[in-house]
Amino acid sequence: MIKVNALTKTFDGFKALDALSMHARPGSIYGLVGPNGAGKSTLLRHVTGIYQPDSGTVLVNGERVYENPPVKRKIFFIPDDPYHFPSASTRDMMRFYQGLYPQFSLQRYEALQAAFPDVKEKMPIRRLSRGMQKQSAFWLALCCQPELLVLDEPVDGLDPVMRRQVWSLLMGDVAQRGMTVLISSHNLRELEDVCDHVGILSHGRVLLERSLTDLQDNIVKIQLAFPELDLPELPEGLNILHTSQLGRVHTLIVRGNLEIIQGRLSTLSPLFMEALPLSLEEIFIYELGGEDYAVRDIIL
Amino acid sequence: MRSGTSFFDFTIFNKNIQRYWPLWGAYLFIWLLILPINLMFLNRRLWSTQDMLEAAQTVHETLPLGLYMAFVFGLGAAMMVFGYLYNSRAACMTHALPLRRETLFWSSYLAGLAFLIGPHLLTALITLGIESLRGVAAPESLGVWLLGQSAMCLFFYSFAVFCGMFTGNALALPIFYGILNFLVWYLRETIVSYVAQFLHGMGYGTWDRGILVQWCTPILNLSGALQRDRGVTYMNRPEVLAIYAAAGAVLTVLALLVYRRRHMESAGDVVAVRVVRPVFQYGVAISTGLLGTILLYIFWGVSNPSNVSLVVGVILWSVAGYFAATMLLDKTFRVFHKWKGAAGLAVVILLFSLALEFDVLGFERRVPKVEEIQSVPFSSISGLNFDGGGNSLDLDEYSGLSTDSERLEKITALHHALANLPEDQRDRLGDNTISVNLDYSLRSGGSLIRRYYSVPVWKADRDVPGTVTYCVEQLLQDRELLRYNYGLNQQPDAGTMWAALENVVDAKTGSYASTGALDSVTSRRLWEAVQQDFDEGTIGIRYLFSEEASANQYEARIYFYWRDPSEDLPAHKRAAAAADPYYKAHQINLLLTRQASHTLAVLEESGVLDAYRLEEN
Repeated sequence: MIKVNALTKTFDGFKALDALSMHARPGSIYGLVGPNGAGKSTLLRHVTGIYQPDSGTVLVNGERVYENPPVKRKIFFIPDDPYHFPSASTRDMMRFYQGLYPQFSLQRYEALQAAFPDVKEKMPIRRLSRGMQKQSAFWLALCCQPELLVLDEPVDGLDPVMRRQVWSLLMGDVAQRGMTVLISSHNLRELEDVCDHVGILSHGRVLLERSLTDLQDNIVKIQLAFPELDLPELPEGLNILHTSQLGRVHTLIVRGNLEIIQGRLSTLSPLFMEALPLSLEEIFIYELGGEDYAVRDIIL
Repeated sequence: MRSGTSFFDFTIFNKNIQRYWPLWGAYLFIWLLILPINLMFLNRRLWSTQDMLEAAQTVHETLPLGLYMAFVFGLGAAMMVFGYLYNSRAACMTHALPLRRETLFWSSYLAGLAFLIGPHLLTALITLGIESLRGVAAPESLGVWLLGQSAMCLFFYSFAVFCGMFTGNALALPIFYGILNFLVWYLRETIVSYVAQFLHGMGYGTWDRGILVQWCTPILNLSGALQRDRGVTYMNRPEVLAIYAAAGAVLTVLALLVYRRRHMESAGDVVAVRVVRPVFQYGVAISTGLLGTILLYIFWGVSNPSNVSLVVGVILWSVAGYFAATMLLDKTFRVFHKWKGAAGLAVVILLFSLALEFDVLGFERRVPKVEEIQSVPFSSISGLNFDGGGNSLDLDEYSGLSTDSERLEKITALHHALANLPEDQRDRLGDNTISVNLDYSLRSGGSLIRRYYSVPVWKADRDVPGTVTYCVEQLLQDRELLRYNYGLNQQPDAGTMWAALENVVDAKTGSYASTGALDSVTSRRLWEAVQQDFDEGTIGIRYLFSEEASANQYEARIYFYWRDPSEDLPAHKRAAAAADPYYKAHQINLLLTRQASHTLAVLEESGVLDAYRLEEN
């Protein structure tokens, strides 16, 4: 769906994107994480055709986005601080988008009213709270029925109930229409529940880009205990990323397949051995430990 | 697959019309007040069909007011419809929409133009309706107004749009627009002032006779094009409006080209187009350097600063301007590490000033040879003693006389005298002070223009060949040239000509008075007598020194008026013309002299001097 290749963008000598490449499959929910200034918003503005690349390409469905209305009709962008005309209500903005997005669904607009009960559709959006302004933006975006929804810090300002509601609606569109979602956030925990692919940005480059399943399958967290206090010599060939100890209980972070690792460790005859789930946050810490200080900063 | 280009999107157009109705509503309201409502008011107040008719036929005379409205509302419309470029959030939202830049541009541009043209059309329709109801419809005048006002709006609006494409800051747009409307005029004023300090003979219009300034200062040029021409018309140069309207169309296309290359991340920047940033940076620096120095000298009351202090002042102010511009561009006060640019600028100013000081290009010494000269249009000597007909001597090409080689010899001799005037004599007060404009059209197709201001002339030099005084006197002796300067070469229409004396003393009351129109026979005899006296050199003498004028002239002036029978007045002006003898009349006037025996004889014989007395000057 999205293919970014060697994208470079410079602002007054500052390289915001440095030969960045990424790829998001159709129907996926792709999380883009990185610290402030990593280039997330700049990348999103290229994907939505707002910025013109200095070099490199940004393709959606195999076509360039910049100055290409047929492609842009399939994309809707909700920035972190959505813009609306100063005195416009949600209904006014609905009419505006209705004139610009051919696939805009008025029936969906009416139907979604129930999903956003606090948003008064005839009230000027600027008079709504920040959270309700975000709700209004999601309401309008979903009515445009885009093939690609691009979200920059999407649920900031939404209360937990409304977050769940919004994610549920997005997931529904992904499941039913095959919509692709590209989300930028610097909060890994937020993305963990919804993303199936993750890319991490630092200094204008994608440092790592994988599916969550791949990541989770490739790193194992195992707790085990031995009769003696010290950890016995571990079998050769294990790629140990990290070890820690609390009393007789040792925690190992090992890269590799769970069954193979468990098989090898069982030769040490531990008193008990248990595999624990790794959070996305932990995966990134151990995967990228020492790779880049900025990455560590945002995760910790 | 790339999309085909669509140039218009109704949603964007309609949104602009709906959002910014207060702007076009206010514009419409003002025009309704000025035209149809005003016509209704006249009708109610005076109940005169004639007054209504005259008002309807002079609707286009509101164009001078409309010029300033076009200037203001053109800017306002551009600021509104392209306002999304000056706010990062709005710029992102708008450019994420599935529209090409061309579509966004034309939809917004046409909406802004509709803010202006729409009210014009509506006003014209309502005005025509009211005129028709009263039976005084004047579609011609209304059409002139509609076209003229729309042309001006097209230009100023397009110019504002063009300016707006170079900035990403809403506050910067009106400043750019205002500055660029007067930039060439301002640069002319300041640069010429600076250069003239170094180069003797440099003055306004030295480069291009002021044409560039005239056309690049549209509000002044249009104002001139719409001026009242002896009470009849407000549009004496309609082609000027047409040219500006065409320029507006060109600016629109250029604005689109800039918009297509504009980067959206520039929203908020003072200068949004990268290649223009150095122009802005150094332009602000030099403008600040010149203006700051001039204002400082005005503040200190220094009228004639030394060249060294002037250069130092310009360099210091330019450097300050350079850093100020850099702060605006970089949005930070930490710009002093960019001192190399400022130092380079200072060196350039210094070198330029040294080149001027030593006249590297030979500007001061250049005097064309007679055989090089085609004509001397717009050349004149001013500061002579005022004698009713003027205080200058035009050497211009309208007379058709200044192609004569003998006369050109006299002019170039004067030029040599001026060029060779020692530096220590240039700023002194002589027995009189004159100014000389020399404007040569050369046979090579080029031109050479020199302006000499405040040139001292001395009585003692009158018979000293090679001096300025001598050379000016030589030209003042040229009776043929003077005949043209007084207008005595003209052939007034005998049927409409009449004469009058002003500044005569009424013999009964002892107070200054006018004779009023003398009868046609006396007027004709006076004309012939004046011609005879002029031929004998006893009247129509332009003196260089006032004492000589006082010794020979009366205070009384003789006037000749006549109308050009070929000139066709508009119907609604004929009644006014018939009632007012001065209306749109040609005139000649000159001071009476004691030696003008033929003229004085006619006045004596006709009894004028019985009723009036002539006072000595």
